[in-house]
Amino acid sequence: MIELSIEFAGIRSINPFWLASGPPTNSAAQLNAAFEAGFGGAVWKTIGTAVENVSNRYSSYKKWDRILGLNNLELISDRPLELNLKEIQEIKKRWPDRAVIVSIMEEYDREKWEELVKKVEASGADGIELNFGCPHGMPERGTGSKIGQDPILCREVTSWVKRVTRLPLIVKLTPNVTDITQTAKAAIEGGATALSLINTIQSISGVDLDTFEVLPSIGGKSSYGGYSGEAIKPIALSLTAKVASMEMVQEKQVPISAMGGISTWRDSVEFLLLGASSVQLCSAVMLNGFRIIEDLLSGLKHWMEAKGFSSIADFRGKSLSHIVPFHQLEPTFKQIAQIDPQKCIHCFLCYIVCRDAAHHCIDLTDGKALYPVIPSSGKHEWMFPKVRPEDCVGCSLCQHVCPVDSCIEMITMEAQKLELRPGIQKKSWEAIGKRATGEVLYGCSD
Amino acid sequence: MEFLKESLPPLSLSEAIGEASRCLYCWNPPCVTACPTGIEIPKFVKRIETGDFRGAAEVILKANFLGGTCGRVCPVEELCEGACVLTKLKKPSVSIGRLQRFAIDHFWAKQKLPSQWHIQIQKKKKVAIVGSGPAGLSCAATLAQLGIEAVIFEKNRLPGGLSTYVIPSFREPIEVSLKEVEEVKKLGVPIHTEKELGKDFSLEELRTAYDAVFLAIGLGKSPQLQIPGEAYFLDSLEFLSRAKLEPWSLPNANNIVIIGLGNTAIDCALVAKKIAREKVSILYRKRLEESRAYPKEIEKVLKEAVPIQFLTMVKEAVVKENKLVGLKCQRLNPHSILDSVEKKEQTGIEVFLPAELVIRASGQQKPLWITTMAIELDNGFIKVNEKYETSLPKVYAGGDCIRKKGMFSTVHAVEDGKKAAFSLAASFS
Repeated sequence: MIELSIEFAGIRSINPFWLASGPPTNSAAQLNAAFEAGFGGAVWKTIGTAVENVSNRYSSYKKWDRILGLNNLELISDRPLELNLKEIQEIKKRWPDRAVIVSIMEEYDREKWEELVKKVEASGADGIELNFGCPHGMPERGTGSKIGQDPILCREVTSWVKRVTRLPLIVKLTPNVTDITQTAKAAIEGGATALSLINTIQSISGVDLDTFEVLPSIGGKSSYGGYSGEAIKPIALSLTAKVASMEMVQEKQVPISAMGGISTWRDSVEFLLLGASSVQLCSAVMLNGFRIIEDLLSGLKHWMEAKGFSSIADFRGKSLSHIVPFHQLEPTFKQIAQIDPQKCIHCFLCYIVCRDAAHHCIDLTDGKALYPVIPSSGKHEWMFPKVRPEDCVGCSLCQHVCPVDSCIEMITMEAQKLELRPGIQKKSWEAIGKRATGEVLYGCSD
Repeated sequence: MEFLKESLPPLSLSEAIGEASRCLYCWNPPCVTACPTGIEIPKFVKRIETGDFRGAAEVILKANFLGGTCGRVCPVEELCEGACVLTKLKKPSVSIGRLQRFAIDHFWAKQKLPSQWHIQIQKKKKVAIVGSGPAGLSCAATLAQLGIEAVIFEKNRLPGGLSTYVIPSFREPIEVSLKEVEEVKKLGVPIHTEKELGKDFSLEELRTAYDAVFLAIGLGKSPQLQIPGEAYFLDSLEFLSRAKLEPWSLPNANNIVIIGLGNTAIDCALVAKKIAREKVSILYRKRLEESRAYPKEIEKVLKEAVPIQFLTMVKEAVVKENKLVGLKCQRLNPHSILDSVEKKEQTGIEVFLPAELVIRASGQQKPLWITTMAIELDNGFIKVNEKYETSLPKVYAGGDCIRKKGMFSTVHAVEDGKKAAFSLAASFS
């Protein structure tokens, strides 16, 4: 029996899939539809200071038909505060088994934060998320990512809120920082019961080559927006792992709600394996609708069944132990590329990228390819790319550019074969980086 | 002569994911509307894209228990793929049929029914189903999942109907059909083979012993042409069945002529081509545009360079020393504007066409014999209302035997069986 329900910082949710604070969580009508579709929880679009939104507030980074990322210049909720609070109350009453969390943001003024928190608590919400991450519009007013980028402000505002509420307090971290562990630490020290990350990444999605306008063009002008969608997943994964690996987070068992480019059940599992307890989606819903929750649930359930897991706790954080500081990676682990001449379609991409951008160890050999591809005459079809194993460093660039399934494989070299390669270090970085006296040469911090 | 292999290779994993990623995941899409069984196509396609093959199969099988066969035999160009919105952009449609086959094949490779299908038969109501073709199997599967006991009676030795016996192996391997039969049996549905209605049991016996009866008896063999020497002709279904199951039993013929240009006739021609390699031709008494075969099938037979003689009517079989040697035919006036073939002016030009094996693919006989069991017909087909009820109380019908209007297709039969099951369940509550 698969159990998908979770308890996150004391908040119960029938499954780990929540909607992130954004356009899909703007109103009760939307949350209602989302919960009917099956989402386990939602974070209400940030309420607080009054804002004025602009037109043409989204742009996309697209490759032909595929949207890789969304860039938005939308601000927090522009609906009246009282309307939002009323709807939050209605929704929570209607859906007692779903997590209804409210995201809030106020100006850098203690009383204003306290007042807002009290109103939100009165509405019956399950928890509060502090928006310290909006990278556009709000920082100019001294809030949003202005707070999230400064550990001191982060700690301070968190503690303001913590003082006046007993609700679970989630602090949402911005990725637009040098070291997210600093702001995470500050939030926890300020009293956060949980962390969520990441907010959007500051971005410009493109420039129009005809009008010279920056996109999105809002009456001819533009500004720096927030990037989201599939393209940001690797960054979100990295930051999630960083936070989940923090000693403080693990000791205090601070739950993490992860988001950033999640669009399929596979993405969700990746974040859960890196330590998240719940996952949030926004861009994926903006591009497909709430109906994707059925596929998220189906995929997660079947994967768990196939792997023999019966609850999220069975595998949460399971992949964290695979991440080590760079100096612990073994240079003695060597792989060499091998190209299958039978599968090769003679596009020669491997050759050119290896020649120009890697270690120039693929040759185009003259001689008969096993199966001539083009019936017309010409030398082209008789060449096939061959790796020079003694020079290949196993960077795997060729494997990534090859368009044919399993045509290029990375073969692990056995230890004794490494004798053939005179240049190979057999010591780990740590060993290399230490002088005989024990002094560390290469300053790799953990 | 060997058994024919499936001609369309399956999609590889990366091909399937690549193809699935082309689907736009439309909302309220035309492909779902076009599917007679209402499979939620974009949903299963997206699940293939994310590697949730079991989830994809669940979506398919929920709407169409015979998704494996339908993914192979459906005329997708006329149905889902023809409706795909990408075609409006002059792009190829998503390969829905191939993706459906991919999902089901993968699912079967794991050999488990979806977990929610652990059936509890309530054993309160029992339905007898006559015929184990797609309509009967689909009805049984749906009834079983609704907790109603179903028992199938099949006149042939093997269950599965046309999917087992007639659809050529290059499209529907017998293993696929029999596998689906097994899946239905796994739901707790017994199938009694070699039990024929009217011979081994009567309709009255069924109506007494069961709470309801579902007739999924299909259609008969090709009707006679009423011409001399016809006894030497081979019925199309008989030919296809022998070619599929016992190819060694077919006579060695150098010259095969098929009479007719429907889907079955084309299948006969394609199969004959694989057997005889040469000298396969078609005789058709009407024009090309009057054929009601699927356009894709006509394309196939033309691509195989099978010569087709249009506006040619067979008058007589020519027999010498007890062996068929040819056909005496009459050309019809190509400019005749009269619709009925009988009324088309005969030009008087007679031709002799040599033939060693003549296959009669002139359609399928309607179940006229069912009137002996006091069931009303409508234009020769069993008459049913929108609940699939026949004129006889407690007796329902579906599949080709009721198909007064519409395609004689596997998928429509599956939908009939499913809907009739819901209708039956509603009548019991």
